[in-house]
Amino acid sequence: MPGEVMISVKNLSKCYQVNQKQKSSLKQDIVRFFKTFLTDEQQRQEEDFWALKDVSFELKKGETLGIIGANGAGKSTLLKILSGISYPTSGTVETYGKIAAILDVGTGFHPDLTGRENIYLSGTLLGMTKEEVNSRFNSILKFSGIGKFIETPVKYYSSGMYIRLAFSVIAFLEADVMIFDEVIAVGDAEFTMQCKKKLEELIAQGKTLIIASHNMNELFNYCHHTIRLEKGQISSEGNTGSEISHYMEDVFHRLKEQRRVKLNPEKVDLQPNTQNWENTKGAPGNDNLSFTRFTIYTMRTEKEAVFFTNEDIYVELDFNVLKNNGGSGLAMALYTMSGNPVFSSAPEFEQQSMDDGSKYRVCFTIPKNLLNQGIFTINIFQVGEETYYKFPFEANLIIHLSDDYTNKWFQLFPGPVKPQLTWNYERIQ
Amino acid sequence: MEKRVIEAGSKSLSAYFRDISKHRALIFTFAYRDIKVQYAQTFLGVLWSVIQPVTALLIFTFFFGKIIKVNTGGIPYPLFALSGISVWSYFSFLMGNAGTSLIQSRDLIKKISFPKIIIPLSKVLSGASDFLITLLLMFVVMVFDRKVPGIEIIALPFFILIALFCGLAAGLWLSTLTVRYRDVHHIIPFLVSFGIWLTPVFYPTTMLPDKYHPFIYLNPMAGVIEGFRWSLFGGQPPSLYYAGSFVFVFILTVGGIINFKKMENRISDWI
Repeated sequence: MPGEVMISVKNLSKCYQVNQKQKSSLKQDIVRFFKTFLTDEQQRQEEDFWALKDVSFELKKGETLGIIGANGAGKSTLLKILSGISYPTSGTVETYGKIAAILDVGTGFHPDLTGRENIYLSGTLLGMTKEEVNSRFNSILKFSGIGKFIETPVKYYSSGMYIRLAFSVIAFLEADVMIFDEVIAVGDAEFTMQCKKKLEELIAQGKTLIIASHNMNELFNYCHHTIRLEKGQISSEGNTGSEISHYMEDVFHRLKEQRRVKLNPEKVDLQPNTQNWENTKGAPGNDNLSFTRFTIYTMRTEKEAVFFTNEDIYVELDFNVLKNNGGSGLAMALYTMSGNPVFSSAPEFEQQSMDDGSKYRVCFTIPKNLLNQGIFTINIFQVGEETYYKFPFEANLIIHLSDDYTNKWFQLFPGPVKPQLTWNYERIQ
Repeated sequence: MEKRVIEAGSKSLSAYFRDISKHRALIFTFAYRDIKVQYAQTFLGVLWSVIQPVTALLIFTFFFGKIIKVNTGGIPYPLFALSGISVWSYFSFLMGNAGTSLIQSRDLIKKISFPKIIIPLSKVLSGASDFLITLLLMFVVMVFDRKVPGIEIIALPFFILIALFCGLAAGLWLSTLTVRYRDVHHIIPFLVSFGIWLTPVFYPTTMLPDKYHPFIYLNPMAGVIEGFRWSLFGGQPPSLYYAGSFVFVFILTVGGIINFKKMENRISDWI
């Protein structure tokens, strides 16, 4: 029955004693015991760490809930409590029906056992009865595509095969509520498609889902509603689209700040927009050339760390030619933060011959309205008939949605690129 | 639909047992896995379960039976040793494997919800196969020796049960202590390898002066092994010391379960 409450979380808090968690040896405890005993001094308060603080929410049948938050915000702790692995310090969770928690792929797999044995092992551990595994065995086998290797110990499987088998067991779990911790996109392209289809099937069947993920597209595709955790508390909640865009907004903001604060360069995760190797050792390069400067800029006058979707972005690279290699030239490739290539580019003109010992500058422009909001990485290559060399260097590019879009009806556009296509509206009837 | 409440504080003992019973299939799953893994990729397979006790038997028969000539009260030394080895091995398997079982299953404990006590409990079954094989071996030797047990044999299951509880109790305590204090993890191998010398496995307690008897029976396995031998081969009937050590086993087991239940909710945080 839709509208029925499946999970109800009330004032949930979880406290870890940091000391306890990290190191507590018998010796320490004995010493502490005698100290308390002899000196009558109160037991020293161990440092408390509140992984969750006063979290409350409700999940109804057929709802899909996303959970976002930085590492250490409490996502995993929350999922562990919901699935009954860990217990709260205070507050309650009420769950109705069968809960399946998929916090890992390959839970309970043993390398020495065969695929068949591991299906039974993992299946029963995840809450299936032996009969249920029996009846689903053929479907699991078919879904995994493992085929004849099913009688081989899984330690001989390729890691892809291993994950496929492990995920196939999960795919045939039946429960009223399913909890996922970042496990959806695994395996090769075909298998990923299969998994996505399976997940969409579950949603279509009206299954109640909870997904914690750093993959915003995943959350956007599968979750109606999203909770954002920050330092163990729900900092905001609402529809997934707006939660994600607010979250990304904050991430961008933080990264921007980080770039501004150059005082403590170790703390900056991302490379600055200009990198100089003029007088330093370790400049990226090879036998042919050596970089001296790399910079990304726009026509805006203020030094900004973040670029907007509606401005041309210029990338400039200076280098010294050490030994001319006539048959090759430079190229660039752009990747998403998760490492997927977006596009690459190389000059169309014939490579000019360059003089040994001279300094050159190469420049390319990433046109406006091409990249979507996001964090990208640029890599530089040397390519030729017989050369393919990726320079050990990368630059990060943070693209922000341009001002024209903020606070509009729809803030999140999926995909790494958002080119301006030709749109045409026409009244036809 | 089934309702489940997750909150701070521990459940009642009866709710705890209901929960264990609900997950009892896992006991078999774990035991099956352990046994499968034990023989995986071995050429000799189950034969190893015979080779191990036989090797121990040969060595001890040579040293204690032939060279030292231990007085076993008329029992042929191989039988005397084998009876001791079989029960002791089961006990030490339980103590050692159940004791380290939680740490070994860390990944499962952090990813799956089930009563953690299932893990040490399952070792009772995983150790049973080796124990039964050794027991069978002993009966084969008895047939060769034309040794026919008397009426005392009916007490045999009782002593096996005490050995089981003794090993389980030690395993339960050690496993929870290991979660809390990793020091215990280093103590377990000592207990397993030195414990055998403090237990009348290769020698009868009669070899020791009378004044040491109360001390040797502080170790409940002493009574178990002597009683086990008595039920097979007759001889000196069980003494009052046994009763004391069996009561001790009972307290240790009940305490072990209660302590485990107390720790249960926090194991996944500490491990």
